[in-house]
Amino acid sequence: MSPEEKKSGMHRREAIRRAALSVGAVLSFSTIEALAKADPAKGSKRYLSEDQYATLAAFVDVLLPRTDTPGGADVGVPGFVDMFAGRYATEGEARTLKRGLDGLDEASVKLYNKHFQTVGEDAQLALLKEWATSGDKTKTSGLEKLREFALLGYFSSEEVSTKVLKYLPVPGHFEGCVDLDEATGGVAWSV
Amino acid sequence: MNIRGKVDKQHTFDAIVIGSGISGGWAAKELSEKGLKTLVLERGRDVKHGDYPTAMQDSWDIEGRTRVDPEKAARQPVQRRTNAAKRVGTEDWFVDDIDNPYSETKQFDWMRGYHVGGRSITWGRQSYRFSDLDFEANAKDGFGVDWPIRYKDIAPWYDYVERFAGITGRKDGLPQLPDGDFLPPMDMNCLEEHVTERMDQVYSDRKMIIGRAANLTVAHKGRGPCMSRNRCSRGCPFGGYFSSNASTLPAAYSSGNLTLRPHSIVNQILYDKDAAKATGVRIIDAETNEVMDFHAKIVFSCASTVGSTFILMNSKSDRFPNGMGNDSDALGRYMMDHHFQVGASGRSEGFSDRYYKGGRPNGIYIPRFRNVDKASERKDYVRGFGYQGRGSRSDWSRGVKELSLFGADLKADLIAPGEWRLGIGAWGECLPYADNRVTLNESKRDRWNQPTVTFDVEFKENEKIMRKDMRASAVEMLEASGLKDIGSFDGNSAPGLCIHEMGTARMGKDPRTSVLNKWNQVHGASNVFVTDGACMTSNGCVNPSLTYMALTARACDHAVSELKKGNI
Repeated sequence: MSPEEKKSGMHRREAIRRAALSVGAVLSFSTIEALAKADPAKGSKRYLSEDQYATLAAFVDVLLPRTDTPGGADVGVPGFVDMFAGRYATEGEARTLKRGLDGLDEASVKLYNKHFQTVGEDAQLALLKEWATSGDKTKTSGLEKLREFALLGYFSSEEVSTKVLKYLPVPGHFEGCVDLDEATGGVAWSV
Repeated sequence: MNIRGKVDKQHTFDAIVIGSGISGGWAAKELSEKGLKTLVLERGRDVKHGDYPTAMQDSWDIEGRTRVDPEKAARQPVQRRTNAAKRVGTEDWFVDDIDNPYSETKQFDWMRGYHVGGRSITWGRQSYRFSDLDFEANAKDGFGVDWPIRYKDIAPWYDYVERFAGITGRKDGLPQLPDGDFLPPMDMNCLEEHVTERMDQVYSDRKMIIGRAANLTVAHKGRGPCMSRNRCSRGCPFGGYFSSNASTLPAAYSSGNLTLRPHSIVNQILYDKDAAKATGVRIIDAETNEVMDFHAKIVFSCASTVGSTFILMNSKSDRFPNGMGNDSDALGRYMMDHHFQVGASGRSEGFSDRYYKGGRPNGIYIPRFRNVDKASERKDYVRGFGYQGRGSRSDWSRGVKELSLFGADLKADLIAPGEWRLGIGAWGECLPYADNRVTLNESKRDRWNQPTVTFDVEFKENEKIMRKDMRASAVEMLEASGLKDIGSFDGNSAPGLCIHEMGTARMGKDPRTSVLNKWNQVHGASNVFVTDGACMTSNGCVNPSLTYMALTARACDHAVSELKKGNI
């Protein structure tokens, strides 16, 4: 551990301890240690092939483009889906997801003579909508798995959870029936 | 065992408590506060209040976000039969299945938490009193032996434990679900309130009420209040709900009379034939494999239903060749669990401008309405069921199957809360059957060379017929409440999955047909008390932990009084 890492670890520990104390939580030393060490941004090798990853990135751009809120790419969704498919998905899920990516790319090449990631948004959308309504289980299950992992990556990210949705980690008490706009400005709670 | 245990002062106490879960925590508190030098033996690791590593983690702090680390999951193939163990951040409160094997003649889902606090960390916290409808059930319909107690015997002890534990609820005035000494009730949300009103209009025999839970709606005894994070099962650094770690064990430590020894697997209770009493227990240190004996005047077995029954079965002596207290052959028999995972849900088109604030660690409850009186009597089955449920607005995951929705439209839709839905699921009573049993498996040994257990338990006709009504009544009530697109389900739960396993060392009036007397004392070993789920003579349809608390406190009071009189 470098001195900088050590310092930032100490800083994180202290910040966690103070945050916990400020809301009246009792956290033991071991718990603070575990939290301070938690580092979800572990570097690792890519699971998907280069082509699959390129198709995935293009898919995420169409599914979750940047608007007045961050896009999927802005919050690392393609990297998350790649990691999640490789490490957390079941074998069946990973197979379905890869078959979906391969299939989208093949269909794009066949129809437009271009890879999915370069065919352009209109063609991408047309192709995705054709798949969505195809009634073909191979196509719809692949699409569903892609959506599931991408939406999970998006909505469970720190940026979206805390800045797009309404983040209230320690509500303090429960109110059963409140005005939506007053409570959250019309958005969903993130937790 | 060929290593002779040391008998010395350090190994001698007034009382030994086996287990530190809901029942063991209560026994530790009561006995130590009454002045007894008390040793609590816990087979797993120590967990002090505050040792909750995942309690403050957000989704993005966890690599798998909603999924458990695959290497951990691979060691929990049985525990992962329950969603409770699949929930990320709770997996370390469930045992390693590879190290803790058992056998199933028929599928039995045995969910365990081997650490200080046991399953009191992960429990559902729903807290309801049994009524005389339950205590009289066996006598009335003839299934199982009669309970040796009635509601009046336990009522003051429900009061007593509720006042310490802190139970939120509303006084609903229902005879089949006695009111308690409650902290302020939690709110219903808009849809739940609406359905409650509709049910009041339609039905005279059934009601939707707010759940009663061991969560603190106000600060209580230096704990809480509940912060409405609804992450209870990770452990609560606010002490917002009742667990041994946050509640009873700190009280026991404060008495100055508690010694807690983790990593201590109780192998058997030691028995003196001449005195007709237990002298103590033999343990195996889970880390060093050292075998040692501890001695005490009284022993409370609170090791969980199957844990306690295992210990009694494994406590063989000349006097008890088939297990301690087992002259009746009832030990290991009459295993019960609630059958559940059956119900219905529907959506509401109203309240789109309404929401709730906070995560409520509680739901709504529809108390039993079948076979509660002459008018509600069923010809096709005995006993009954209650429903737990909740209303809520759907989250972003509704977007997964909306395959044609993309881009800005999709984002705008999913960033807002979805439609309101309300679902209810039934928890049904299971009759006590002699052939639903757990037995010792001498040939399959655990890593400490102890026998393991084999389950041969199934739900039978009465439960299967009841389930049809559980499903149909759910649909009927939601339709009557005006919900739309109602779908019903029957997940066909195996015994054990409800994690309400009960019986196998039942209380009774007659030593020839039961293992324990009306004070939870083992027949033939009057200084041994079993106060966890093993003692249950029938299982009602409500969540049982509050009853274990009350029975434990009651038994402790009796034990100390008998000890003072020189009777045990």
